[in-house]
Amino acid sequence: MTRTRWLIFFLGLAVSAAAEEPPAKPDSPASPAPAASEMGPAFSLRRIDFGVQGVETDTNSSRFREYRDVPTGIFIPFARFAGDERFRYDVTAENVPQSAARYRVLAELGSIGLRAEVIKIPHRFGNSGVTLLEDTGPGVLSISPTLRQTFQGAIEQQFAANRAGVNYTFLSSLVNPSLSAESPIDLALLRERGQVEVRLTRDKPYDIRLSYFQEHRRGTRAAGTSFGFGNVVESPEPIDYRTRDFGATAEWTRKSLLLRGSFHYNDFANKNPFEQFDNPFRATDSTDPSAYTAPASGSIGGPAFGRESLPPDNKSVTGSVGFLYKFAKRSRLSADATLGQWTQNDAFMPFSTNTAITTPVRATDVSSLPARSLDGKIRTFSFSSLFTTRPADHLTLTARFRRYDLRNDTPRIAFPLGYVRFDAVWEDIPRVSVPYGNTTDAFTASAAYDFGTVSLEGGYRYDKWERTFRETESTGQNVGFVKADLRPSDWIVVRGSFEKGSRDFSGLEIEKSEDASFLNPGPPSNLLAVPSATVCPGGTVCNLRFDQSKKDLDRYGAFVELSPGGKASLTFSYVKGKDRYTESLFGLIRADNEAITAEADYTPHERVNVFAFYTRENISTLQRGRQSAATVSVNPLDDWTSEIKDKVDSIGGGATFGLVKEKVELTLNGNYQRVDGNNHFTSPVGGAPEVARRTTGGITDIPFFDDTNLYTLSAELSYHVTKGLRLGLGGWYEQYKLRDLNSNDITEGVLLTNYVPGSFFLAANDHDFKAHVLYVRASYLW
Amino acid sequence: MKGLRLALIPVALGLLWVVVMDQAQAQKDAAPASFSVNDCRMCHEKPVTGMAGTPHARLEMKCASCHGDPTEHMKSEVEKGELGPIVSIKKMKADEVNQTCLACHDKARQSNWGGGVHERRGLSCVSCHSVHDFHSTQAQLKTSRDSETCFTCHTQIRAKGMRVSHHPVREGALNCASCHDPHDGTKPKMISAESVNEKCLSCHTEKRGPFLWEHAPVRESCLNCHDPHGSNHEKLLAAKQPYLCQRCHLNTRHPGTLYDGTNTLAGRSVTNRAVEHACKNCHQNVHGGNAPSGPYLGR
Repeated sequence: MTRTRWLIFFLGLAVSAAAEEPPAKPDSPASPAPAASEMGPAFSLRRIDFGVQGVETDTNSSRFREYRDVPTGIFIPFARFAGDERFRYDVTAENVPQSAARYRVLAELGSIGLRAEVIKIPHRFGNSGVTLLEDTGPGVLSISPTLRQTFQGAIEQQFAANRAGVNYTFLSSLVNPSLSAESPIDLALLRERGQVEVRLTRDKPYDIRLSYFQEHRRGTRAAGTSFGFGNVVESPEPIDYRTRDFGATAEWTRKSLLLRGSFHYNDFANKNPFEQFDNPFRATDSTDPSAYTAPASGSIGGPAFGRESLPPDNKSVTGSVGFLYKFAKRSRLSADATLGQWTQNDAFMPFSTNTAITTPVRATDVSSLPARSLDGKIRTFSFSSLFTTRPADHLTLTARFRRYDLRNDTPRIAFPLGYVRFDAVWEDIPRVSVPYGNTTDAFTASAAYDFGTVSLEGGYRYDKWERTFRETESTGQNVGFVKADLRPSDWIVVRGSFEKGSRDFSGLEIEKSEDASFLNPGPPSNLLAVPSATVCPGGTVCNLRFDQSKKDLDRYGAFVELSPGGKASLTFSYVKGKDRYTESLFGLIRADNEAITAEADYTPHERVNVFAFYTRENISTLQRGRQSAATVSVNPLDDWTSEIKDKVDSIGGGATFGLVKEKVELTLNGNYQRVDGNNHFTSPVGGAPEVARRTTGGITDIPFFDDTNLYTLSAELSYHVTKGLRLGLGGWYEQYKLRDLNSNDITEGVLLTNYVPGSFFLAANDHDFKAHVLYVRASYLW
Repeated sequence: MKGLRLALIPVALGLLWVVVMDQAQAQKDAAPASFSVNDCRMCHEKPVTGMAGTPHARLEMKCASCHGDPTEHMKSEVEKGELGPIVSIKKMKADEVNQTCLACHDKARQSNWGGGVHERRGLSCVSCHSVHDFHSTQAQLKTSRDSETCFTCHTQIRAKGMRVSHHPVREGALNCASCHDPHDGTKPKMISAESVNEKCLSCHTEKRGPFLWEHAPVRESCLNCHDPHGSNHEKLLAAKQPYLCQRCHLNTRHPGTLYDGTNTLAGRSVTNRAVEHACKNCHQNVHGGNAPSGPYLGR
């Protein structure tokens, strides 16, 4: 059945149901109901929390204030004004007037309901980053032309005298004096969101709502902008995004039938369609076949500046209709269908900024492009239906089906002459864009029976993926599951679950994905696109990507909750997941995770509460690669494996003590998480990876792969002066430490240098810190 | 089309049921005799005060809306000094609690409660919500934040939420309900969108595209690379770069090369393919790019 027919079917069903009879009036009570005044006087609440706070940190790491403000001085964490004298209203404000604030308004006037919210969410990526680039216009980051000319001249001189001398030692001595003279910059983003929803028909059998959402994101973030293999220039990417969403939803209820529909128009606009960034080592454009490796012994060419596309403006329109029908035996049938369309048609930028590239086309000229914009279009269709019933007292049957179809109707654009690599050199490799699409189907059926003390559920789930332009036509996954709940008494709950499944693929064409973006595909360059017979033993397909390869999966779960006497509760839980890519020898082979949790809560009397939890997670993955030179290696000695193991300990706890009844209270809290991550490598003796490391210490594990420590301790002593006034004295301490692969030479939050071989890094500080916060605050209610 | 035909199964089953079974019998509540809330308040001061200012306090039938006719309950107390019959939510089974609440709330998001995993695992509305003693500013939850409610069962997610790389849930800017609808049994993982990607794209609209150069796993599922609940790697990545990328990209030359401790900043052979943002140092537009010269997502 076509989508249109489906929609007609559901719309017809909706209309016919709606046309049956007018909605019945709600039953009115047979006897007089209590008057509103019997609830006491009209509800009215005024509350304001305010205080004074001192903050001390040992570093300027952004991590401490990543998503929050921790102000020094006067702060207002919470205020609320609510009442229902003439109409119901509720106004709250949090963290006034900080950059991480939230304001919320709720009002009900007759049949109109209003809900509005303004929220500001900061995201601080790093402080005191260092770069030669300066913001000189929308999306334009520049370096002094004089400085670039100086660097270019020095490099040209060295290149002429001794090519091999254009190396890290030379370049770092060239740039470090300038880097050390730069002013630091902070990288941060602020999301400012506002949304309002108007409910037009409150307390009616039909519900109509209109909504509007707007968000402005602005700031900078670290971006990997590069001129090639030997000249990465990390930059502060400018962000100035606006998103708007207009929505309308409607719902109509008539006894057993509920009809619903919605419409949304969403619009994303980026004020900076591209980022332009100067090349520190060049003031003039040049090109040569090795320019993408410059500056090095092979080339010192390249562009004076580069340009990178930033997210283009886009739009989405979505409409949905659905129904729910309830009938005998607690049966419910629901179905919803949603159609969507996403479009994008921003103007393309030229092939390159490099004026030296003039053949086969003038790369800086947009008229050289085969198209001026994408005219991109994706159509989505989703359908979900659920049927549940209780044919017998204790038996529940449920069936669910979902389809999600993402049809990418974006035209394929061919670049028959090739493209420019890193604004440095024309690559005569004809390419064509690939509009990936997919369709997923998911069917689940389950039966549950409640025996009283024990309830059991068993079921089956089938997931199917159909993909376009990928190695396989489809993958299908079958999963069986059983779950059991045991309630031998009021204070004991035991839950268990087990899932087992497997995935297989069909329609394999292993080169298809790699070939899709080449007009003239040559031999595969990815080991995972090589015909399986070349690298796989025994007729298996051992080199299929993990999202499509054969897979076995197991999931176990257990949960025990004991709450004897109502004063204490103990909880234990265990979950384990195992993914085995059963025939894979390359790529991801295994992914395991396990978590065990113990938790206790004790309330001996109303003035004391103590709780604590501990979770241990063991996370492990194994993957294998094969190192290749210009062509894909068929030598197993070139293989390498990476086995990553993370052990994560999470501890939390707290206590509340009523020291003087209804007067003095002490609250303590603490959280701690420690991650111990290791990456263990292997590679056979005699293979390329091992041979390359014979003079540098051999294959070396990374024992500090992602080691982190984060803990927070807090305490507050509060005194209830009157029923409406509470004073609090408190403080907290937080500490964070990181040792990881990507930044292991960072000492106390400071990178030793901003220039490392082949790269300028901002090295903005988001690392270790210790912070102390002390505050006095009052909470006043009236 | 085969999959679409599968859709007919539950629809047809349901329609068949309509024909075979009787229509649901309308259950008319027993009309309460006249009573005063203040009568309830005499013994139940805290619960009655606790619901002040809430929609429940403004129900026409007040306490009787959920607890039934209190007449016999009070009469017995006054005349015999012992508690008379009353509908007690605390003594109800989960299913009975849900039926009580859904008598009014079986609409909007709650209309998809039936058949969902939370219902099937024996949870009730009062597992999370409280009419008389709630601590959240929205949705009358038993805890001040929804995550605290969810973490009572989803303990592994709590541990993930404590990770360095996380969505601002523990800071209170987002909450579990920002992405999940705990009432909705129709969606996998109770995601409050038509797909995982559509949920992510509702905030990360800049990644919606379509793009000239797309990245297949991005278009299919954000979860191929990210763990939205928390991660020990930047940007909530499921693994650290370059190893994450090397799960798929084992190409000739640099993508398939081994990067071990030798190649880190402390190693003897530092490479910009293993430090800081690793692969993303050059392939920045990994979510899709719109530059004609960006087939490798570097422009």
